Amino acid sequence: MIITAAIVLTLLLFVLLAVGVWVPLALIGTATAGLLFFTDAPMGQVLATSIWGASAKWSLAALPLFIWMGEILLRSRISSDLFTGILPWVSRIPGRLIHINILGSGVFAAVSGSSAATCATIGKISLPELKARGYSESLAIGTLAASGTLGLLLPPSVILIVYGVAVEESITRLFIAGILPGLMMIAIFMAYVALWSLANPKKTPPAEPKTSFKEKLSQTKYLIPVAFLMVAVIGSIYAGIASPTDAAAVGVLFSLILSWLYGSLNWRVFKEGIISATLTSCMIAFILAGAAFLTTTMGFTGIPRALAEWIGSLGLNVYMLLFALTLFFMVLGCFLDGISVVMLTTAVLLPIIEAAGIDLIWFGIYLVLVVEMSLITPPVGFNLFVIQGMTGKNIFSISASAFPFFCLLMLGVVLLVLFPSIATWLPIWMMS
Amino acid sequence: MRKILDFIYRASGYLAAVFLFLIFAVVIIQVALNVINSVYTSISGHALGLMLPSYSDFAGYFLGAATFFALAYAMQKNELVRVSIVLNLANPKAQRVMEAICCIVGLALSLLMTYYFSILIMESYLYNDQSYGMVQIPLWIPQLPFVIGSGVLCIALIDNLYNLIVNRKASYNQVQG
Repeated sequence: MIITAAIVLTLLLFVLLAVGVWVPLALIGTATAGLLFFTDAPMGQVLATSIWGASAKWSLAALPLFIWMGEILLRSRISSDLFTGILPWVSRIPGRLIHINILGSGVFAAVSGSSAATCATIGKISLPELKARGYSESLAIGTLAASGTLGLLLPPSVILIVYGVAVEESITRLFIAGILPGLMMIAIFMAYVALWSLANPKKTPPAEPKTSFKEKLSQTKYLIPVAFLMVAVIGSIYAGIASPTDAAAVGVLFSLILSWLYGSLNWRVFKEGIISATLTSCMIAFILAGAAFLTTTMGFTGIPRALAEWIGSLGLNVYMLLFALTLFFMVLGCFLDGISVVMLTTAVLLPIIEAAGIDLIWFGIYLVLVVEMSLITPPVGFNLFVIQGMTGKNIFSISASAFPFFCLLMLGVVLLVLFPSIATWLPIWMMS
Repeated sequence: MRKILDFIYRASGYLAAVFLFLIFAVVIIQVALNVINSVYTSISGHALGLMLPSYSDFAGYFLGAATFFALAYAMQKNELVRVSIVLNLANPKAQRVMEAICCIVGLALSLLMTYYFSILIMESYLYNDQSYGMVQIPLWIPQLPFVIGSGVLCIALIDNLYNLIVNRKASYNQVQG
């Protein structure tokens, strides 16, 4: 019975998704069918109470606020300021200005929370600049595609909020756990760029004219606003003064002030930003609601428990399990957006993860890193299409540029699996 | 008719944005009160304890309202994610059939949601369910946006289905602005 249920519901979900039914509605449809045909639970009551319970939640209120903060920053001058501020510091290390792509995208993706928007916004400034100075276009595109994904890991991360709410883990702990792996990926990307430049000196343009330390400092002042914002938002969460939702509201306030100081805040920009944030947040919250309903249904059908027992009886070790899951997520990631992948996982696979004794905080970070990788999977990753839309280059040449970074992200996943403390050490150290 | 429908979606979406702003307002006021509290305590040594009662409950309810009021507008603006790989590969005729299936499935589910949310509200009202916080709010009030939002989504899906059949194109593929 359970096997039939599992097969029928999986097929149903895939058919609904493939036909093009909106993801949250596909989740709700599958859950409805599951309750009707495979359980005795009162379908309507479960539907109404689980969606209501998952939607009107305090901890989830951080989500629209962080999204709104990102929308305000996207419409400000902050991205070009990042370029100017970082430039003098990287112009002497091998790879030079390419590092701006990595650092600028990393910072911008962290505060804006959107990897696609980061690719578009940073790319609009950096790609023409880098091309004009004679840098390898392929390297510029690859770093841009890859670094945009770092925002998923670096706090405040929308996808980690969604995961934390779904598995009922502390969002603060997840945010802290994401820091080291995020910095590690930045370091890996930068090391790769430096090595590549040393190996290909002919493709690296000459150094910028040397700037004095004083000039460097004066250009760095452009970084002050964004640094202030990050310290205020992230610092207050880590110091334990503010909950993520409180910090998100502070972030919105400071972004509005910043945008006003830049002179880019007017009624039209304000309205566009808040409407856009409302729509994005509605989309994510509705997926979360649908997934919550599916999770409840799954509990009634007993499928996840049976699946966990079955996997347990196979006697896989943790590494084999993670390897299988990684492949599975990569395939899913080619069709679904990151948040849907995370929600499907938590609805069905969570008992397996718990049964295997895997730490849920660590698993969240691992899952997000795999999702990052799927964003630049050649030739179907979402970020690749964003860059295609921007540069008009063909998708295969963009895929080729992004491929080394896809491998580096995979290296990151392997390191995270071999050394789990990359993610778990900081939260334990900071919260003790 | 087109104008009236688009107005309904937009109005509902803008209302959702107002609720998003209200989340921000409630939370930022509480943060400000926290700051005043701690400054006062550090100066006078006494606790002040200023607080917006039940602000976390309110933020949650506003979020629910923002999500559901925005549903139809998000669908019309193509903001609700869907897997479009197969749709893009299909020929125009198959595409229309698939879009119609999506709308019918979506309509069935949103009717279901509207109906069962209505029952939820009726029960909350009849049994006089209240929230647990300091300020007790009858639960049917924050549940009302769920019914209205799902209802507007039903209207949008009927609208799309009608357009698919009559104009051979769903209105979410046409609406701009």
